[in-house]
Amino acid sequence: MKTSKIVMAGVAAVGLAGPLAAQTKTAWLHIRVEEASRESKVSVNLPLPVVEAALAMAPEKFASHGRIRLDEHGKDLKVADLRRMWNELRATGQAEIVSIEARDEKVRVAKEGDRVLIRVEKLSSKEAVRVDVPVAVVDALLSGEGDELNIEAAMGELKKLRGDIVQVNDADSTVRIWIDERM
Amino acid sequence: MVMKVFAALAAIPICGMAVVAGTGVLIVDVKEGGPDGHHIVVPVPLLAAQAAARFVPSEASRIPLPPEMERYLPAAERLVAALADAPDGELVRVDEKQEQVVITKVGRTLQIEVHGPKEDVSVLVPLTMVSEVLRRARDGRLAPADVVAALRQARLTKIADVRDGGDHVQISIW
Repeated sequence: MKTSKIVMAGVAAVGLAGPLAAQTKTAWLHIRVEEASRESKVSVNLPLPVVEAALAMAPEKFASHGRIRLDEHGKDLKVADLRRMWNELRATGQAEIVSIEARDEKVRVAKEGDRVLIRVEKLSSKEAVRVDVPVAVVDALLSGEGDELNIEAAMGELKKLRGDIVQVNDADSTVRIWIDERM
Repeated sequence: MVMKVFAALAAIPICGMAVVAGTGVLIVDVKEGGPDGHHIVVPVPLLAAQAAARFVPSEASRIPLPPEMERYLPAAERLVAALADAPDGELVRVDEKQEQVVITKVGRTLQIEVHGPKEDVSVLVPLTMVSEVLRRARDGRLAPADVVAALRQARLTKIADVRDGGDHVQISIW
């Protein structure tokens, strides 16, 4: 009896060790910007703890205690309104939030599974924007009060995220932002 | 008896050199380009520089930092600590038509390299040195002696290597 308990505990420990080891790996935020006309390539690779520490150095007017205030910088977008809209959208489950098909442009904002997808396509040029944001990150970002965004909480969620967040392609340049565990 | 006197006399410069070597030396090496270019090497014992910095008039010995800078010192300390704890790797690379900038973290050092058509700059920033400067500036004032003392954290490092045309400047700490 005692032996079987020890064996089971050992198996459980080995089973847990894998996921725990994976969680302790450092998440890296990668940004790639390429501009063909300037023959320019910019590559930024930062561990998320460094990004978090750098955000703490944002000017006080812009951020405090891990929260960003928008009232002075984005008067046409109140975080309180954004939060209310988000809570309503969240309640609808999977949904096509915005769908615009103009002569030259297609815009689609949808909630699919645990992600919010933003797609913008310009038909006359090769311009395309793809933004994939996990619902948990938006939840965390809007968990502040009043006109503040909770950057600290959003960073906490971003640490769990792996994969592409933003992709922008236009005729001359490309931007890609993603998170993984590799330098 | 004579041997003992000689030994004692010889011990003085040896001890002096040992103290200088033990407390660090900043070496500035400048080579001018061209056939008539000068080669100047200036060794500055850090102990002497620190002692000299102590003679700076008291009103200038602790320079107050701008209030907006002082406010960010704790965050800057956390940023440097986060960088020091981060895994090694290439943090930034900018490739343009004629210029390249690469910032790499190696151990507890940030290596900044700028390559242009005419100049090559390589700067090593020991993070322990930066955190020491920030630690000493916690009260919102920084003394030249503190900066010199922080340089000791960067022993055995070539902190700057600049090639501009034919000129070559190297700054090392031994």
